[in-house]
Amino acid sequence: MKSMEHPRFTISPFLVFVLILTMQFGPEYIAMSNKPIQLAGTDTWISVILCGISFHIVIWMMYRILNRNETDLIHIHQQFFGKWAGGGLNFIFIVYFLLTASYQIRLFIEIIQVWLFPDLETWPLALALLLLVYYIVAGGFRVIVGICMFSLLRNLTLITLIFTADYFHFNNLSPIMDHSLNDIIRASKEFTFPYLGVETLFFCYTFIKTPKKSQKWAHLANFVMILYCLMGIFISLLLFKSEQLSNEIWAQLTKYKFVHFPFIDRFEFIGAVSQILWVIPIICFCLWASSRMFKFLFNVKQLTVLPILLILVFTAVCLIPGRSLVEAVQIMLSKIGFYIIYAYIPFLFILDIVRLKVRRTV
Amino acid sequence: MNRLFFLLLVTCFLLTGCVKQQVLDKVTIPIVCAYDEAPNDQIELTIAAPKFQAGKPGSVSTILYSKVGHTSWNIIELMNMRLNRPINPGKFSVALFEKNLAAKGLADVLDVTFRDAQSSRRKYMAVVDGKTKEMLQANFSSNEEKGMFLFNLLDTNVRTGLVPRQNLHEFEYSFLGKGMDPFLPLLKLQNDQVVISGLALFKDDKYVMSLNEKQMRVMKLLLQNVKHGTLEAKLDNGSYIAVVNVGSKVNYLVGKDAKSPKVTIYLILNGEILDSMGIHSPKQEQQRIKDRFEKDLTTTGMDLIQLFKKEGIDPLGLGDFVRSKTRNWNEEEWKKEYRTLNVKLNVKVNLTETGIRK
Repeated sequence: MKSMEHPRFTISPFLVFVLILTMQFGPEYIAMSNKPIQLAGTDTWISVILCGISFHIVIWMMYRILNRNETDLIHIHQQFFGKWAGGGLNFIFIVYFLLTASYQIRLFIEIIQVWLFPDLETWPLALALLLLVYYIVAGGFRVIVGICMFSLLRNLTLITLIFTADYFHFNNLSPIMDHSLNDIIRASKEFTFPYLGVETLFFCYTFIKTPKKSQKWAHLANFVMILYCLMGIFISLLLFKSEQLSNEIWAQLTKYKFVHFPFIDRFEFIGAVSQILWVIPIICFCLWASSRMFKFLFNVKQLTVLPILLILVFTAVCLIPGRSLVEAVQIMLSKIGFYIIYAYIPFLFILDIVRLKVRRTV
Repeated sequence: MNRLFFLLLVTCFLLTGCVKQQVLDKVTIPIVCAYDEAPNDQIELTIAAPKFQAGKPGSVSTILYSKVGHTSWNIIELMNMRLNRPINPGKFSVALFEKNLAAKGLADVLDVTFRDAQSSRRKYMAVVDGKTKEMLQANFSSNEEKGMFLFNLLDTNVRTGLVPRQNLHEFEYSFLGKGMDPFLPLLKLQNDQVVISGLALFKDDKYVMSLNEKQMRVMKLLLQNVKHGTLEAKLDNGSYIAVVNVGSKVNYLVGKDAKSPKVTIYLILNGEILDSMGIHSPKQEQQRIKDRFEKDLTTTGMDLIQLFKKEGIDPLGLGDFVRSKTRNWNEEEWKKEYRTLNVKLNVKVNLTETGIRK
């Protein structure tokens, strides 16, 4: 079955690079270096590369599944598992995306509350952000990709990390391979959460003009993501002792504390606020994907269901009070994401091959 | 519908007035804070609040506020009750600690600055020989704001002098890191003048002993590559000579001999003779001056290392260096080894220029 969108709604294959990169490079990266460095210390960069390679394999599997069926996951579910079970699986993905969106908004608001305005209530900022999200999502898929493109401006804040070079301690990188393989693999498991985001490919596949040509761009996005992660980890290793990192919550924002310009004494506040560039595209995509799934599940218009989903996200955001629950949601999401990437996608891949074989023999 | 939402979005910008405002004219922004020891495990916090006079640009006076309490935030709250403009702790750039307080340990006092998102990690810290409150009371800065004066004093000496750099981040780094101990500059009040009189050495977060300013200079040369600062030595004939450092390089090498590691430190110093009192043609004397400096630096350096080993402190970070070169490094074992560690210091001085005279 072939189900492609009207060419008016599709994007060029190279934009997959922008889309996947912004989805993967989420705000989780600001806290990613704390835990793995406790486990693997000086060898954490090996874990980053290992995890990145595993994601390359996952992207390859996803393209295999998608290219063979030439449709997106919503329809694949219904083809593979029938209307009810497939619908149920779609529903799980809706919950996953809504939860991700709530987590991202709450994390951003928490950062603002901790770094800038401790007296800020959660709901006004959530309301303002969600109105913005509605405005973007109502514009359609191409507008979301445009916002992803716009969010690449964030690299400006990353460039400023050059100014931390004064405090680098290169001793912290050696000795290499001082940790057991077990530690390194456990650390790379911690990296699945920052790398998450490739699963979005399943849902935007039909919106790519020539989807088969877009695979190399998706791989390139993942490769660039590895470089970003390596940069984050190397700067963390060079700047901090692992004992220091165990005390930090957002190591990435603490790094901005070293940056200092004659006209901006404290760059960390700009660093904290700029997280919005990481957050907004992901929230927009999550809400777009979940409202699209709703459209096929219940036969409603995407724009009518969107406000309902936004209200759901809004209440969820307001129900998360502080650090401990944000952390709990993060652990839950990283577990779900881990199983989606390393269990569900390989399972689908094998199922797809088996289905093909069975069909051929029949 | 879409237009309505856009309108709603625009009205959200009006919400910016809803958060707590901090108008620059209505807050006190102190630059220096000083911690003293107080009875019953309390601390005495002294804050020098700058006061700007209206109509007189450029003139600023400092008013001291001090208060005894258990936690610094409570002290600040109590101070606010005496101030017409509440304190905003975001701009603290220098923290001073009394020697006795430092001897008890700084980790608890520093926790607040690490926890506060507003505090800077580039904040300078210093240990004061004597009461910090008395030091701040002295009129050492004439017209300048006291906090800015102390900040510039430390900053310029770190950048262009031979005071080793140690700010809040580096203090925590070497305090929490294994196989290294922190140090801080030591300030003293002399005839109403603030002087950097040496270095205060710590074991973990507790003050142990101090170095004088000559030892401090050699210590900086051993810590990092430096391109500034002056060294002086006395020649055998009684005359003195001063050499400006135009670029020193320090290298640590680890060798193994019979199980325990051996550390060799190579220090190469390129100098320029600028002050040769009593020697009229230093060109001919160069070899002798060179030998003298090499011997001088080696003895001071070796004395320092012996001292560190005796006290069991490691401000040079030798432990961290050995860790980076050995697999399965163990802190406990290292501490035992450290006292009998074989450290060698090789100093080579090159005198390249002699100013614009022969």
